[in-house]
Amino acid sequence: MTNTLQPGKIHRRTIHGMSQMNYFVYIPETYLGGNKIFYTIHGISRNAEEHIQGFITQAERHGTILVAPLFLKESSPHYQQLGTNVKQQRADMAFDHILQDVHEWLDVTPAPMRMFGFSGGGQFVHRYAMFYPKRVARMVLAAPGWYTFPDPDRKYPFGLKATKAWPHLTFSLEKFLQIPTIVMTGEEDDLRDKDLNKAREIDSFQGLNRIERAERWVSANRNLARSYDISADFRLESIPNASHAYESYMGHPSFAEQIFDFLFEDQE
Amino acid sequence: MELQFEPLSIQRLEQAKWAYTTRRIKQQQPMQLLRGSLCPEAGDLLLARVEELGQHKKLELVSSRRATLFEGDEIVVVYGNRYAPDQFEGIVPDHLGACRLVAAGGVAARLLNRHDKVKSATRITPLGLLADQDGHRINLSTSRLPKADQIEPDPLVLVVAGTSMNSGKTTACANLVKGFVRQKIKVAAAKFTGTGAGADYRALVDAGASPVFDFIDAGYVSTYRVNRDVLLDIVMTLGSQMAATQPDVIIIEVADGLLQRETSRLFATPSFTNWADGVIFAANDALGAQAGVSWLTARQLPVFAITGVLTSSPLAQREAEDICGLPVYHTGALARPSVSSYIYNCLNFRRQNQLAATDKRQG
Repeated sequence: MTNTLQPGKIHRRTIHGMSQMNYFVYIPETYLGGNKIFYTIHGISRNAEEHIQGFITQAERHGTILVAPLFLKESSPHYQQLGTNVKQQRADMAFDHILQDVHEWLDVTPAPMRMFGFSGGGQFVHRYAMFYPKRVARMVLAAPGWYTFPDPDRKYPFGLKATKAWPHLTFSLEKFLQIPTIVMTGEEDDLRDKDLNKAREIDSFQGLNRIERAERWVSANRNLARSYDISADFRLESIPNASHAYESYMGHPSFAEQIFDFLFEDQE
Repeated sequence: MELQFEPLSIQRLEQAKWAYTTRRIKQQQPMQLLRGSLCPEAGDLLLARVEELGQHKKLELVSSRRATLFEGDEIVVVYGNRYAPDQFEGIVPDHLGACRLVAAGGVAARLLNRHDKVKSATRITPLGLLADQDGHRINLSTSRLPKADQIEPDPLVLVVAGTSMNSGKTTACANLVKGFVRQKIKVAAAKFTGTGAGADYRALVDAGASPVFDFIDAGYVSTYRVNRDVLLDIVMTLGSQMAATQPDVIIIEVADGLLQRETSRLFATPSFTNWADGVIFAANDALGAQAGVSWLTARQLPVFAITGVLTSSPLAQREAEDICGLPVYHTGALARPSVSSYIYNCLNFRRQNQLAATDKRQG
């Protein structure tokens, strides 16, 4: 388990199932056990290793294992939405294989998870949390392009309504709403860049840029939590001077620490 | 003028158009016409002749069919008070003289006020009160459901209130019923306040609720100007009747706006408010939604969603979501199982939380 892995070094792990899956892991030299694991999900640039590198300081400071799945374009082209449809290229199932491997290889209990996702990774994280709310303890979403709203009258992946591609969907919203969540948006991430999904269904309902969409998604969840009479913790935070580039978020001095502080505040 | 009794032939009674508000009265019984110096009371049945058609050119029959009225028709309607901001205000007169048909469901009253945009109320001439064979006035209270003093607590209770009449409450109720029924959830429904109207009652029946009641079943033609005891009687009578059939959900429509006196009183009746698991608020616009939600939350009433006429406008819907901090459901979407299943889960979750909190308080 962990003593077979060299601490203080990034390891790339490849597992073979229905398709090949990869992830990166980092065990800090300060790791004292206790199942402290930080899961980080990359955006469309698929820079999983860069995510690990970016959080090493926090991993060492907090004694936290880092795990970063790599969703390849060939096997998981629509990982942000958890798959192409209910049967094909299911990124959530690929991720579950990774969790199983983490459990067996590192001898740790992988869930409930503390998850961070950037851009497309933020999309993956919140949808995964909607599908499997018991598995997610806390989450931070940075700069998702668009969201699945907790709206039973809109078709998945825009909302929660089942479709031909995604039949028989059921969600435990009362559990999802109890996941403490921060959505972070760059102060300057309000451009309609080439990577932003500009479909009319999204523009008309979610807003025209990542900031508007984040505001509306957070509001929708807060509203629904009030409807259920749940004391939810959905926060919206702005990162000064950040555009949509990953580096511009990471470049903000307190960004990475802020994420760790939130995700592990109930464990420290 | 002394009281006069005139026998009524079966043929004459059969030819008369019996209004929706008389639906609990057995028509096939010997009746007399009572005339003279009489002071009618709310709920009294009268035989009247249509003199001049006005706003209401049709009368809702017992079946809820809207029958065309002709001048000279004889109709059986009920004296009552009427409160309708979009139409008329009327009160029970203190004599049997000429009066007005102030509601299509069959309410006779002395007209006090009229909305600018409606025509004058249809004029009718009372021919006399209906009395039974023994000469007793026939009043809705004589054929009401039995009074009750407790309600079986198991069914979930969902209340629909709104900003005013025509804010979408009845449509919301009917769609909620349909959405639940489509999920095989058994629904009972009732309208607790307002003025007897067959269309409202029938909408709930057509959507699949069973049983369906309104205040007529408790012996009241309308709830305008009734006191707190009457409101409590309606809550207990209809509530116990519905709960006794063991539905999964009870849906209750409260008429008019929250500022209407009897609606406001109903929401200050603990037997009613403590019984409700959730309130859905129907509004015409976002500002109305905000005012209504604030009004309800200030009284700790469990408002948990918004719907109504405003949902025809996506922009108004967004405004309401932003300002009220609650989900807004399109009125039409309430009939879809994808939406009603979440509403049911939400109600159930709130009920379980309440039970847990009560258990905790009681140690």
